Amino acid sequence: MTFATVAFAVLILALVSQIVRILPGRSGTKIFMPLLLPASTILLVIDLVLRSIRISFVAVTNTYEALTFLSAALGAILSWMQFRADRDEKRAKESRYVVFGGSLLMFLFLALASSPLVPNTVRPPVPALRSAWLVMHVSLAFVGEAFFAVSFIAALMGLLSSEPDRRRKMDRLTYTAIAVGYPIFTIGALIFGAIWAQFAWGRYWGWDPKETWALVTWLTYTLYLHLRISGSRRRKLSQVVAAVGFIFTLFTFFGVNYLLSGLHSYG
Amino acid sequence: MKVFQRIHAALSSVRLAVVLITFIALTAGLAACIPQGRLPEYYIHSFKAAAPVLLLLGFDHFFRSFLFIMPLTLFTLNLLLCTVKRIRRHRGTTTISSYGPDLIHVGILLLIAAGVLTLFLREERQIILAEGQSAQLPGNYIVTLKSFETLRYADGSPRNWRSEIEVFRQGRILSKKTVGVNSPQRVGYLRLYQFSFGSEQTAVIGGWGREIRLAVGERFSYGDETFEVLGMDTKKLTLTLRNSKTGITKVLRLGDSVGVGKIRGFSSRTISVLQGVYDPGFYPAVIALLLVILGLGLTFTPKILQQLKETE
Repeated sequence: MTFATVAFAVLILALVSQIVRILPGRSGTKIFMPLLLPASTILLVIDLVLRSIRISFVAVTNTYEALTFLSAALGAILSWMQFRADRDEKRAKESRYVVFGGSLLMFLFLALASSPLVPNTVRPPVPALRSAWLVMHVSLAFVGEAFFAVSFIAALMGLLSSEPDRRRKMDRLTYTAIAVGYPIFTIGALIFGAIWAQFAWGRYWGWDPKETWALVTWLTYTLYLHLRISGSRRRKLSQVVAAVGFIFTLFTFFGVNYLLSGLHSYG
Repeated sequence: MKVFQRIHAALSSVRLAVVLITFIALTAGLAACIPQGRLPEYYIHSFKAAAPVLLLLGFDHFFRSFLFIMPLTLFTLNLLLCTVKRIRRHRGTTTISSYGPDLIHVGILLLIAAGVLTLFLREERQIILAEGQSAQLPGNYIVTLKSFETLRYADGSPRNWRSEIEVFRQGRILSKKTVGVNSPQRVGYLRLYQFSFGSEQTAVIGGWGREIRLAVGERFSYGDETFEVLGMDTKKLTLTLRNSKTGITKVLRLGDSVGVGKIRGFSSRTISVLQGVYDPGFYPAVIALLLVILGLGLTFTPKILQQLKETE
């Protein structure tokens, strides 16, 4: 049994505890419940550290490790949100919904990581991946994507909610998550990715399907930010764009890997 | 005058930016799902009835097509006008963070300019060398491959491919370098990348006090005769040689004579494929990316800090 498997089990417990906490009249803090999500995150980090030691390189070089890293990054953000929600009853309810939605996404990522679709064999990276630029490229891109995941849940909740106050709070959370995730994703996915490509293949941009879809994702969030500055009348549209942005993020990660071929086929 | 003002206002508007970003994102996303640069027959076979439309719109070479270049040009103009408008508006502003989006915009404009430089001035050439072989590069540089090696992990899988090269100019050795994956080396204005490797069949010819290995396309001279290898069959153990002096082509077998030598055997040798790249767009692109990073920091740091303050 690996640390990731234990993390998965702990995450299921965290999900159950979150459902209990969301139920009406059950918002009180239990001592161990808020610790389940951080515990699951820490276990994922331990799993990645152990894999890194075994391959003598930072373990972000295949789909299994990328999914584990993305889940850990998302877990860390959600744990922080949960920590803050427990200290602020005014926005505790909304935050708990987002934490629950985010934890569900984390569950889906880990379920996919443990499926036969994603081999979890511990293998050292191929020569092209042995680069510090690659490590910074992948890790920052996934941290950015973890923030996009939070924005996706908040945008969906804002779109589905009929309460103006909740819609406003969710809109603000969507924006905050994108405001943090966008620069991190830009630097990681596009800038460090271009520098790594220059060192590995001698070209900083090649219109490879993964590169193009990362650009499409970036353009979608750029569109979101421009819709935001062009007036509050477009708030609903901007939330739709934020949600679509995360769907594109997922397609860039999974769709391109499984449906299209290119230089990133190992990713 | 008013017409020009209206055109200027429309070209520098956020609304136009929104329309262009949406169009570029959707068409580029679609193009990434269609293999690029194939023959028309491929699209006709794969996309059936949609093929004529795809070919007409240039989706077989989308990133050089009118449908991509035109909106990108318009987007560049929009970004340029919008940036000028913003900078004028901010003139005299003391808060440095208000220049953040401008820096991002200038960075993206510079990046597009770098892309244009790359598109028109980039040079690329492959240098295929077996150990001991040399190749001439621009600037009268001569590169000789001393050795090629595959470094392996404990489980036997490849860890790196490395070519040890010597660089000569005007008969003088200038340097010894190691070209590896992720560690290119500069020779003159080219940067050499470890691109690939492989093996090729060679015939071993000897008998006059030395032994040489020849692959298809290579020549060797003895006295006033020059022989060129036209073909090789390592299963039948035959070698097709042309004598350049007499013009006679012969198919020879293992043990047959070649000049004063003999065909002693057949073997394979490892070849290293290096890629020489000159890209004048790279350094402008790096400067552009640094501007974008700086702009992102200036734009989003105060916003995030403000959001955090408000939620306290």
